[in-house]
Amino acid sequence: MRILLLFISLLFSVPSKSGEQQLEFQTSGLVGLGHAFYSYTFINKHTLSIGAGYVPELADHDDMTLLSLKYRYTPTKSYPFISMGQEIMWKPYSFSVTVLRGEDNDIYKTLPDDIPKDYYLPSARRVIFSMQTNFVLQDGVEFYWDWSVLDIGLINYVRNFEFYRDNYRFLGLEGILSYGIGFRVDL
Amino acid sequence: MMRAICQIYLLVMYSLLISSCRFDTSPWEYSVDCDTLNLDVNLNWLAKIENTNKEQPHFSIAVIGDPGLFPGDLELTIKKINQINKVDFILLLGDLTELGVKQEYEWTCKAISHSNKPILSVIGNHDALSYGREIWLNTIGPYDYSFTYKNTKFIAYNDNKYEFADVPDKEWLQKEAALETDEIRHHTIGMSHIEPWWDIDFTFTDELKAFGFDLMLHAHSHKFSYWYKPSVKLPHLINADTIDIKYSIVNFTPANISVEQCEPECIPATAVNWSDIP
Repeated sequence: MRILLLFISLLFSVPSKSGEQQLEFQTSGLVGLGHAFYSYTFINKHTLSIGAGYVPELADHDDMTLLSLKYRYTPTKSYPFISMGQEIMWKPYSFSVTVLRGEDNDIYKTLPDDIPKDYYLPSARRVIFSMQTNFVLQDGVEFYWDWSVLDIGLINYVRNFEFYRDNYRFLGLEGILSYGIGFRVDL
Repeated sequence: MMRAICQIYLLVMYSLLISSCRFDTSPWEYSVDCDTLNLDVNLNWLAKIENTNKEQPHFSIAVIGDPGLFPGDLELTIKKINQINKVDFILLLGDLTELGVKQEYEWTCKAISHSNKPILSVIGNHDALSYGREIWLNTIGPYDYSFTYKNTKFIAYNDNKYEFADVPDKEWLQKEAALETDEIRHHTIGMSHIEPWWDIDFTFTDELKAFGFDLMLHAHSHKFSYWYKPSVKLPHLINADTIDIKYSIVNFTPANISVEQCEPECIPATAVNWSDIP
C-alpha cells in the first residue's frame, strides 16, 4: 500500500507533457486474460505503470482480479521500416519488472495466523520479469510482443541451467517463458 | 552490419514466437499436462512389473524427497536411480514444488519423465500452496492412497497441518493398516511428507505402531535421519533433499527391512534412539 501511495504521489508530482502518459492493454504473459495499465514515462526511457487485470472463471483458473505495479526501461534505439505503406518504428527491446498481486481467498496475501511468521512467502504476490519488442505506429499507437518469466522461473533457470537447456528448446527458455501481446496509446 | 544484426534478431524473435504457443493467463493457472506423475499411470506400470517377476519375493525401492527448487538435481537423482537394477519403484515424498504453481509442477514432471521406474508421490506442504491442491488432485491423484506390492502394503497419507484441516486421517490409516481376512502381508509401510508433529501429537508414533505399521518414510527436514522412539520402536526414515543427488534405498525380504543412505553412493543405515539425534 505504501508503494502504491508513493507511486501515485510520484505520478502527480511530475508536470504532465504530451506523449508521456499512456494507456496500455495486454493479454496473457502472466498478467491476466486482460490487463490495463496507466503509464507515465519520465526521463525518456523510464516508465512507471499501475494496472488492473482480470481472469474470468476458466477450466484452469479461478475468477480473479489482478493488481500490478510495473517499471519499464525502453532504450532509445529504434529502426524505421515500411510495412503495407505504413511507416513503423521498431523499438527492438524494452525490459520491465512487474509486481503482480492476485485477489483470491485461496492464495495468501498475508500468512494465516496458524502458520509461523515468514514460513512461506505470500503466495498471492509474484514478480514478473519481461522483455518486449515494440512497433510504434505514426499516430501514437504502439503494439508489442511480450516475453515474461516468473520470479521462480528466473531463479530456477539460473540454478538449474543445464536442466532447462537439456529439456527445453532455445537454451531452455521455452521452459520458463510465457508470451503476451499488447498495445499502448499515447494520451 | 547493423541491418544484418537486426534481421537476425527479428528472425530469432519470430522463431521463438511462432514455435511456442505458451500463453499463460496468470501464474495461478491449475491445469498441468503431465502423465509421469499420475498415480493411476504409475500404479498400472507397477502392477506390470510385479507380474513379470512375481516369484522373486525380495525387492528394493528408492525414496526421494524435497526436490523443490532443484529440478536439475531431481533429474540427476532419477538418472542415478535408473542404474540401480534392484530398485523396482521410487517413492517421492513431497515438496515437488516451492510455491505450488503450475510451471513448477511441469518442471518436476519433466525431470520425472527420465525415470525408467514407476514413481509414487505424496503431497508436501509447499505443493499445497497457491492452487497446488487442485493441481495435485487433477494431475497426480488423491492425497491419501494405498497399494500393495509383493505382499507389502504401502500407505500414503497427507499430514500437512498448515494447509489442511483434520490431517492425518487416523481412522483411515487404521483401517488401511488392518489386515484383511486371508490377506498375506509381509510388511506395512507408511509414508508422508512430514514426520509426526511432536508439539501437537506426541503419541502419534505410538498409534502408528498400534495400527500395525513396520516402517515410516518421510522427508521435509531436508536432511537424512533414521530414528525410533525407545518405548515404541517404530523406525522413521527421514529423507534428505535431492540436492547433489541424495536418496535412500529400502530393501525388503519377507522377514526383514534394511535401509541404505545414498549421497550418491549407498551405505547401510541403522535406526537410532531419537534422543541420540543432535
